[in-house]
Amino acid sequence: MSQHDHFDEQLIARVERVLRAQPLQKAPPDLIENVYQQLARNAARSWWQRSFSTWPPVMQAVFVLTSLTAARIVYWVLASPDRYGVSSHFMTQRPPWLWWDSAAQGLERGHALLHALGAALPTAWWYVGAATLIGFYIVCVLCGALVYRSMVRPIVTDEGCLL
Amino acid sequence: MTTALRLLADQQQAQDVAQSVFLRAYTHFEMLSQSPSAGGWLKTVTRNECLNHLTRYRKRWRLFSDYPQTEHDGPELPVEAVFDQTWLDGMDDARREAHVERALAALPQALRVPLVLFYFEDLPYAEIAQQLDYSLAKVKTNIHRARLLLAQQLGPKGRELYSS
Repeated sequence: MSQHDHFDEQLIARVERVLRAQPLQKAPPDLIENVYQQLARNAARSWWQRSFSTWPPVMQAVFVLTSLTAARIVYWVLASPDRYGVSSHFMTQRPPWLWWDSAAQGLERGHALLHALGAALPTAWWYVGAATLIGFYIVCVLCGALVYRSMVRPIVTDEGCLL
Repeated sequence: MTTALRLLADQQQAQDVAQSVFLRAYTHFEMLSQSPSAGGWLKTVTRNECLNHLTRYRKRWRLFSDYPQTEHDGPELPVEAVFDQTWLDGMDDARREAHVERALAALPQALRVPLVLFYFEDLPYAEIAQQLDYSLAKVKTNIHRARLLLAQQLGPKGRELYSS
C-alpha cells in the first residue's frame, strides 16, 4: 500500500468519525411559533384567497363557467365584423352566452384571426413590434442585474467559491 | 432543521425552508399522521427544498455575477500536517461540535453539499450525482476534496483560527 493510499484511508476514517459523531442541531425556539402564526394567518383567509383546489365545489363550477363565458364575450367582441374588418374569415357570429363551441372551431377561428391580422398589418410593424419586445426584455434583465448586484453580495472564499 | 442548516449553511435560509416544510406537512397531516415513514417524508422534502433553493440561487448568481465560475478548482491542498487533530479530541463535546459545524459551513457549496448528502443523508454516490446533476466522477472528486478541506479546517488551519 502506497503512502498516498494510506493517507486517503486515514482521511476517510477520520472525517467519517468526526462527522458521524455530530449530533442533530436544535431548531430555534421561534421556528414552531412562526409556523403556528403562519397557519393561523392561512386559516384566517377567506375561501377565495386560498388555493383554487380548496374552494367549495359550487364556487369552483361557478368560476369556471363565468370564466368561459367571459372569454367567449371577449372573443365575440374582438371578432365583431364592424370593428376590425376581419369578418370574412368567420362563418357565423354566435351570441356570447353560447360558449360551448367545439375546440376545433375555436382553434380554426383563432388561426383565421391571426392570418387576417398578418395580412392586414404591414411587415415593418411586425419587425418594430418584435424589436420593441426584445428591447423591453433586455432592459428588464439589465435592471434586474443592476438591482441584484447592488443589493446582493455573494460571499467568495479564498478558493474563489461561492458560499 | 439540521439537514437544512448543513446544506444551506445559512441560519435564516434554513429557517425559511424548515418553516415551508412544516407548512407542507400540515397540509398533508392526514396522510403523514398515519404513515410510519413520516420522518423520511419530512427529511426528503427538506432535502429537495434545499437543493431547489441552492439551484435557483446558483443560477441567479451565475447570470448576474462576473465572479470567476470556479466552483471547486481551488489550489492544491497541502497533504502534510492535515491529521494533527489531537487538539480537537481534547475539546469538550459542545465546543468540538460547534467547531466542526463551523468548518462544515465554511466549505464551498459545491463541496459541502455532496459531503452532507453522503455523510448525513446517507445517499450513495450515484443518487447524489442524480440529485445534483453531476457526473459520478465529479461527485467522488468533490467529496474527496471536501474531506481534504474539512480535515485542513479541523487541523492546523482550524487550530490557528480557533486560537486567534
